[in-house]
Amino acid sequence: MTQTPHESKHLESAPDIIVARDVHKYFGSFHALQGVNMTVKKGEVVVIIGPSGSGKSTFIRTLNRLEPHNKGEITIDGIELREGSNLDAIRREVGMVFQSFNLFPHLSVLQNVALAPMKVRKQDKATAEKGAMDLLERVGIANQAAKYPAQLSGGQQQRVAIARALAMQPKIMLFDEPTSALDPEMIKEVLDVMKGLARSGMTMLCVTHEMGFAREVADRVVFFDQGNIVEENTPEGFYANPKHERSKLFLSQILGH
Amino acid sequence: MTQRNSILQGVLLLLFVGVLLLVGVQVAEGIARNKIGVDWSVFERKASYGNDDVNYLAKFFQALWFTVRISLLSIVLALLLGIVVGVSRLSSNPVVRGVSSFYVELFRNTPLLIQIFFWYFALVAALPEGVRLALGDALGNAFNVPGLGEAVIASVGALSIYTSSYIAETVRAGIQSVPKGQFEAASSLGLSGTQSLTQIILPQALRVVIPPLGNQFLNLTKNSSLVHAIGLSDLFFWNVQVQSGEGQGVVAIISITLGYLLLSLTITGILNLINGRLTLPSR
Repeated sequence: MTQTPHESKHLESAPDIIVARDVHKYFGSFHALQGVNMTVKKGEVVVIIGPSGSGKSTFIRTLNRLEPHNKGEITIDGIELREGSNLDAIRREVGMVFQSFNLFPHLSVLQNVALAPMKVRKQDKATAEKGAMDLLERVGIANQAAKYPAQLSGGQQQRVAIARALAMQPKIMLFDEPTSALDPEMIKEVLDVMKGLARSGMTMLCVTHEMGFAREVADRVVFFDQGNIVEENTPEGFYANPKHERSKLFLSQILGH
Repeated sequence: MTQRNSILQGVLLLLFVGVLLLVGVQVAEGIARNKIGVDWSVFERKASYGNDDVNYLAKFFQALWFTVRISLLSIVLALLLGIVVGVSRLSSNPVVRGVSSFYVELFRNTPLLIQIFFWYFALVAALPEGVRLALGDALGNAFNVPGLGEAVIASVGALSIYTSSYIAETVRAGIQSVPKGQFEAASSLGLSGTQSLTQIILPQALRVVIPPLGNQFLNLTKNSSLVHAIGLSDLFFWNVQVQSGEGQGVVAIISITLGYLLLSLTITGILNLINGRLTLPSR
């Protein structure tokens, strides 16, 4: 018997881990986020899609305060995100994977993954490196541990970036278009790692247009346009039968080519 | 290389050697015509200055060693100061930013010789007496110029601060060349601002700026020739003594030119080595 994520996870009874209320963000006079409301349950996998400039990346970047929001309220695991001292606590709980990997080019793969546990969690070198090797094993790249990022392919680099974020043992993982900078043949290896992570019960917010990923592991698809959420739907519902005109138009554009 | 190309290279080389020979012959003729003495045995003569009763050859190496030491100490201080000021130039605190900008504009836009004099006649004298005497004694002894410790303080102070204003700008440019995503990745892992700077940003920025930093180290070493003006016996001071005391200007100029060239090429070699070591492997 195959289970969909909804049946296996009992999300209804899970606690809320991200609560965003009326979140606004301005870049100068540009109103990038126009009152976004979203609640994410612990263990939920949310795929965020939308046209370029719709605010989807900006939104997930407000969740670890890479972009401070100008108005509204964001609560992560019960801690409200504000200017001040709670920021480090939240960043430790929230891992982030970027479109352009952003690996540290002057550190080896192993050092990339072990750095934050040593510097932030104050683990000793041996413990941190052991943990790092386990994670590199998990993303299938342990044999490259001694290499430098520039010696790896894009797909390998992104898998290292995922391991690096996981090394802080976050409760939430944010993915900002993790496969958009990859050659087509490398997309699968990254998505496979992300699917494994989703099945392990990690709370994930993924900005991605990978429909296969959304259909396979997402609990919910959220469609952004012009700085706000236009449609929320199940993956099946969203791709087969989008409710909103903007969603229909957008899907016809990304699927039509 | 094609045959035509190698002929062209050969002609160019011949031209270059020819010009060199021509200049050499002209200089030699000029020296002979004006009856300027060129006597290399001046190195064996007993030096007319200092009280250690040695010849000019020994004095030359003392002077070279003095220039090496004062340059090295100043380079280290200039680098540390330059990094601090360069980072401060990018601070989010407007006061820190303003003060560091003022520092850079003040010190890189006034002549170094004036700064050396200002240090010697005003700043060192303004130090608390205990500090001035203790530091002066320590530096005077360390540099083998007992009694001239205050001139050493002034020289190291002026050379390192002057050069640090240039290094600060280089470091700032290096930091700005590191992609913003590096800082974002570091922050999203929970690294503090200081940790991001020391672990992630500076190691990358300093790699980028090694060649321009090398230029500043070379400039400092050559600029150190100005310290003879407050009586320190560096390479240039030796040259002055051999010219005025022994009338051997040509020998003196050729010798210190070779001395500075040796120092500069050594610095360049060391920096190339460091640069090679720090170059990151890629595919």
